[in-house]
Amino acid sequence: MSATSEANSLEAFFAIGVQSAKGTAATAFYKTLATVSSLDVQFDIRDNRLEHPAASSVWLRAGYQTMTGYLANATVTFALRPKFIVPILQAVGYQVNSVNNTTYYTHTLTQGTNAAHKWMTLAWSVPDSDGAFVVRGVDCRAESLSIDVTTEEILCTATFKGLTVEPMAGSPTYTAEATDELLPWIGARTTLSCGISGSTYAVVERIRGVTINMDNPLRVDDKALWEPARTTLQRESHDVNYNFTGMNMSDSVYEAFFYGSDGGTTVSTAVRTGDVNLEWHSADDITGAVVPFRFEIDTPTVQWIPESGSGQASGSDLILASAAANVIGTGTPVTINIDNDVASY
Amino acid sequence: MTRDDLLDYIKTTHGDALAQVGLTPVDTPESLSYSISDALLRAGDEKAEADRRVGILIRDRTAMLDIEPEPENIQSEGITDVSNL
Repeated sequence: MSATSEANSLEAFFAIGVQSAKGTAATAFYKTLATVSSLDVQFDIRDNRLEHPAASSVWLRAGYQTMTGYLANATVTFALRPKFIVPILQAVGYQVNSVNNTTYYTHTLTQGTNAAHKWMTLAWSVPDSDGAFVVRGVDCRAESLSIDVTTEEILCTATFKGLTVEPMAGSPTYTAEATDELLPWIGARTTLSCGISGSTYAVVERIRGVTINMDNPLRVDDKALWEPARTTLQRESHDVNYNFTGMNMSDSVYEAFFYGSDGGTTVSTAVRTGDVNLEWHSADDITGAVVPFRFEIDTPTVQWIPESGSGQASGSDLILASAAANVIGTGTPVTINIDNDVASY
Repeated sequence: MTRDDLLDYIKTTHGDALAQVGLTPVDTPESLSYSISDALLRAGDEKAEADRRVGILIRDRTAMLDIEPEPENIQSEGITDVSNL
């Protein structure tokens, strides 16, 4: 026990493990190289009733508020690297199918059913003056994942809720993250199209940023009688959307966004659909292979929503447009492929 | 294989080992649901994947209960194949 700690954050770590069953903590974890991480308790606090006769008619709080339960609450921010992102996507409800390519592995992730939505164990090591202590969150799921791609880096942020927080037990194993980053300037936009049906325009203009948002809201208020603690965190829905920014405002983009087709001449209110397939690679090849680490997201059907007013002439600046592309959930709306050197998850 | 076929296979092959760690081999999130879901993603290789997933479940459950695993069971459940986890 220490009264104070002067250990700094650089000694901390955050890790995630996939549970084989609800209620059974994982013992094998993937560590990330995080920039921000936390795992703590979010208490449910019931307000005091204002009852009379009261012990005091002056003080609002004449008695203690009642703690009625809690949730594990965690967040982690990390640069996109090839290993840790897979269990993070599993925490958002994706199922993984792994293929051995002899010198590397391809992990294909597609959204699973609510019933197949895995429970995860989170581990957070907190440095302390007299040695680190490790806490774990058991029966956790991710509420959101954002992948923010700028011209400088790809940063991901995931948030979690869970049912149990407790000290780490046993002797868990940790797999370290690769140091290789997926880099925003290496890779390709295999497909990026926009337009009304039959008039799709392949967007070739330069783009300076994209954020991929995965929203996976959980039902955090599902408490029941005779249950002193929560027993589940059902998923409420799942949504994926892109937010493209810094897109050169060419005549083709203007016409595709507002007239519905390249060369269009009148504003159309028809739905602008499209197909988005983006990927990023590492600078170096996977050890023993002749391919780099790779992250690919494929969404065959999106609806484009141009951001009104985003393209502005101002001073000597370039005229750049922004637009959202919402993934439409039919068939297999999202497929993510990751190449790395992990045999299976 | 169907989901029921896989459950029957796991019951037959791993039922005793699961019982030793206090798990009833049923298709629920608290037992085999995720092992079965994962195995069904491996068309043509479902049994091997089920063996691997159930092995991990038994290992994790053993650690949670803080009981001594039986070495021969660990070998038979393929727990040695977790170096990449």
